[in-house]
This record gives sequence, structure tokens and C-alpha cells, in this order.
Amino acid sequence: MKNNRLVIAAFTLILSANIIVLVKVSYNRSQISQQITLTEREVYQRYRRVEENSATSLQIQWQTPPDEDYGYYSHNRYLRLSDTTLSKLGLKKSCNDDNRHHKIQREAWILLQQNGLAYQTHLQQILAKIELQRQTINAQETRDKKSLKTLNDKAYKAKNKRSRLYAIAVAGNKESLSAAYPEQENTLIVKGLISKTNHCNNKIRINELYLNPLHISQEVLKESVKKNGNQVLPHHYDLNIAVGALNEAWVQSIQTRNQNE
Amino acid sequence: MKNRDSAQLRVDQINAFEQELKQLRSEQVVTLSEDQQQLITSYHQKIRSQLSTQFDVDFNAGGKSLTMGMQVASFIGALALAVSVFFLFFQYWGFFTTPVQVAVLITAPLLTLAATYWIQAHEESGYFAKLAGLISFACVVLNIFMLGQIFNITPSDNALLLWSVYGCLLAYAFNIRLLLVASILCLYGFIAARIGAYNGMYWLSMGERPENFILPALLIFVIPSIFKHIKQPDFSIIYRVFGQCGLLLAILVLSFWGRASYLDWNSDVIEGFYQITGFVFSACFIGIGLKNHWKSVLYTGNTFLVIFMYSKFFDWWWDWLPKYLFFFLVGLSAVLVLLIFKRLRLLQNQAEESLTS
Repeated sequence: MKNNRLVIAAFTLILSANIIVLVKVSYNRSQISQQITLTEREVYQRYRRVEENSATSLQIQWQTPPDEDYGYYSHNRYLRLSDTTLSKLGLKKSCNDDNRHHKIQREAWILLQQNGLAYQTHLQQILAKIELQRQTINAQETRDKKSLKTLNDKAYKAKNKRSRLYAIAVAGNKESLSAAYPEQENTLIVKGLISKTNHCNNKIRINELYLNPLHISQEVLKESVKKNGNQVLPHHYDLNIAVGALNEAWVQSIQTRNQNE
Repeated sequence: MKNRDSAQLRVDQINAFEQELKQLRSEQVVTLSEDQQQLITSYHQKIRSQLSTQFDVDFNAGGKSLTMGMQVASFIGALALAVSVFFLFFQYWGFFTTPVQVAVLITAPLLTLAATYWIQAHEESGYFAKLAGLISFACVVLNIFMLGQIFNITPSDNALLLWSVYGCLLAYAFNIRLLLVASILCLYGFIAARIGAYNGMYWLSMGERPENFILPALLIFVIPSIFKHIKQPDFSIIYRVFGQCGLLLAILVLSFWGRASYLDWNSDVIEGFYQITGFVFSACFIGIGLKNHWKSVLYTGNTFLVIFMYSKFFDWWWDWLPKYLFFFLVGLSAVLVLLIFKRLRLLQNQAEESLTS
């Protein structure tokens, strides 16, 4: 008798848990609170062996605006915050060597900006740096010809290949970010994980965005290219991401784009 | 008889009685008439037959070895089948639409739970029911994990609580010790995650503060003292051992890694504090094990006491003592530990004798 009751309880538990999850998903997707369009520059398909995992998921490439400490090639993850923001996040500028408190990750809200001022500024910095290096090169020297080609490649990549998605602000709640950056196009506020650096400054490190990885459903992938049993995305595409009432994201659609657009 | 263990104990008792009676008769200490012998033999046969039908007990050492082999095979088979469920789903889920994926994920644990119930009702030994129960647990883990992947849901520690409760229900319904272990580990994770989150850290970073595991360890240790497990005495042992191990492992880690503590003291002071705490708790567990006749608690306490002791020796002497002297001292301490354990065994035997008399 007791056995039967336990089995019934187990059945009920499975059903209840699944119902709760599906109801929450439906509620989340019933209202779209944010939307953003990313391209193949900001998103790439995660590698997986098709024989072991037949689903497709995407990884979003992003960085923070460069600090003077770092070169322009690194995928920067550091952001400098004000003293007020730092204390609101429960972090403090600590100057001792014992980094135990700094390594602890905390949740925070992060503002992402697609092809905005942060990207444009960074691009100009990169191109200016490349131009400065170009001026020191003697175009006649063979070794310098190679260097010139490398610089040209870098400039091309910066203009056409690099991700244009930048994390530009962090806060303890979504409302303060929305208030600080009102009505901005192509922005997304998502949750992520941050930690304080162990240096004596106001820098934090954005370790992870909750956006990653993004699963794409079979229905959305209908128009993708099938090649050798390996479903791949088109070479150039627009990925429309929506965020719902419960701040969970999903891929709404993938639209192929001509190279020239 | 309440369970298989007590039934097996009864059969062993009968076998031991027959062996001892044979010895006594051969030494002409006692003589039984034919009628008495016949009466005892038929009574024992009746008990054996009943227990064999009801509990599938072993009658000899050969049977026990085979049972052990079956348990090992059942354990390996269950783990392998559970893992294969995961890989099976990963291999094909990308070809299904979302409704089909969700339907498969929800029906798999329900069907395997029903199968476990049916198998247990029709199979005496219980091994196949345990296999099916483990697969059902794997299906529930897969269910929640994959729904999170499909709908890009932010990971939450509530999944650990769900898995813990489900594992616990199955463990008690079908007497599956491995599922109780899984349930306890999930419960550890959930409580530690909540304590970590309460202290401002991300829940998945719970391992960065071993102190998060101290409270759940103590709670798990006292569960069998609050809820008596008469029908499943093994479960009490599992709770106590895992409670002890969780507590002492956390203290052991902190005794080497003071930086991971919540305490805002110097790292060396924290390490020293936890080293002393480790010794104290190990000794307490030895005392508790002796007082309550809990062998598992006693042995686990002994083991950790030895670990703490040797780790201290290493800390103190490894760098500056000549190696031969270091190992000589370790050997001497082993002799001392032997003498202590001998004394503890004597005390335990005396305690058991006074209990039976």
C-alpha cells in the first residue's frame, strides 16, 4: 500500500514538474519584451559531432569596449564601473592579495549593444592603429610587403568579420539599465555572471551571458542547408532573437541574407 | 521477517546452529534423539523454504558469492543503461520537432516508472526492478535537463531538488540504495546552492565555498535518528556515512584551502582552525559510533581521523625531516593507531556483550 502511494507520488511529481516548466515557457513566449537581430558575425554554430548530437546550438560572440591596458585583438571581457555601481552589485575595490572574495561569481544584468557606438569607436581605433603601422612600412621591402598584407587582412577582418556585439554596461537590476539607456535600438539586456578582478581598481569581468548557448529548433532550421548529414547555417544570415516576459531568450527566425546586403 | 537482511541473518543463524550442533555431537558434548533431530530439521527446512520464497535468500557461501556477482552486474548494467539513455536521446533529438521532443522527454520517465512497478510485482529477486528504477531516474534527469536546453531556460537549483525527491521516492518504493545515494547527493547540491545564493554567490559556484556543505551534511546525518528505518536498516547506514563524509570532506578541504572559507581571517588561521575541527569531529563520530553501536560511523570516523593525522604529519615534517625518519614516524604512529583501534574494539565488544546480556 505504502509502495503504491510512493509510486503515485513519483508520477505526480514528474507530471507537475513538466507542467510547471511548460506553463512557464508558454508565459515567457506569450509576450516579447526585447528583440535583437544578430548576424553570422556575432553568432557561430557550436561544434559537435553529428553522430553524437544531432541538434544545433549557437554561440554568441561578444566583447567589452577595450581598455587602454589591452590590445585590440583580445576578446575583452573586462568593464570598468563606477564606485556606486560596484557597491550596488555587492562588490568592493579590494587591494589585498588574498583574492578569495573576488573569484566568486554573481548574477548581474548586462546591456548588449549591436553595431552601436562602442563598436564604431573600437573599429576607428583599430583602423587608426593599422594606419599608423602602415606608415612605418617601406612598401618596397619584401618582409614589409608581408607585414602590409597582414595589416590589410586585419583591417578587412575588423570591418567585415569581427563581432559587432558589445557589452557596455552592467547593473544589479534591469530597470536601472533601461533607465540609463532608454530607447536604444539594437540593444539587449540579459542576465549573466560577473566577478570582481583581484586588482585594486573598479574593473569587473563578465564571465558568461545566459544567452549562451542558444538552441535552434527544427522548425526554425527548416530552411537551413543540409550537407553530408550535417545541418549547417547559411553563410550570411540574420538571426532574430526574442526575449520574453520571464527574460528567457529564444531564436525566432533565421533569414538568409545576400552577401552584398 | 521485516526485510531480506533479517531473513538472511536468520538463515545464517540456522546454518551456524547446524554446524555447531554437528561439532558438539562429534565431541559427544550433547546427544539428540531421532525424534528431536527430525523435529529440528523439518522446522528449519520449513523456515528456509518460506524465506527463500519470500526474500530470495542464500543458503551457502557459493550462493552469497553469486548474489554479490549479481549485485555488481546489476550496478554496472544500471549505470551503463542510464548513460545510454542520454546518448540515445542526444543522437536523434535534432531530427524531431519540438512537440515530439517534449512528448518523448515526458513519456520516457512515466513509462519507465510504470515498467519498474510492473517488474517489481512480477519478479522476486528485485534486481531487474532496480535496473528499471535507475533508468527511470536517468530519464527524469534527462527530461528536466533537455527541456532546459530546448527552451533555453536559465539553469536553476530547483532541478536538484526535483531529482532528489524523485530519487528518494523511487529508493523507498523499490528499495534501491543507489538511488538513495543519488538523492542524497542532489539534496547536498540543492541545500549548498541555496546557502551559497543566500550569501550572494551564483548557485553553481557552491563548490567554491566548502562551508556550504556543512549544514546539509549535518542534516543528512540526523535523518535516520528522526525517521527510524526499521524495514530498511541499510538506508540508515547510507544517511549516516554520507552525512559524515560530506562534513569531514568539507573540513578536510578547508584545512588545506583556507582561502575558500567564508571567514574573514588570515588563511593560515582558517586552515589551523579547520584542522583542529577535523580532529574534534572525527573523535566525536568515533564516540557516537561506539555509544550507539553504529559500526559504519565508527569506521568512517576512524578513517578520517587517520587522514587528518597523516596530512598533518606531511604538513609538519615532509620538508625538513629526512625521508627515512618521516616514514619511521608514520610507521610508529600506525602502531599507536593500531593500539587505539584494539582498545576501541575491546570497548565495542564489551558494549555489545552488555547489550545482549
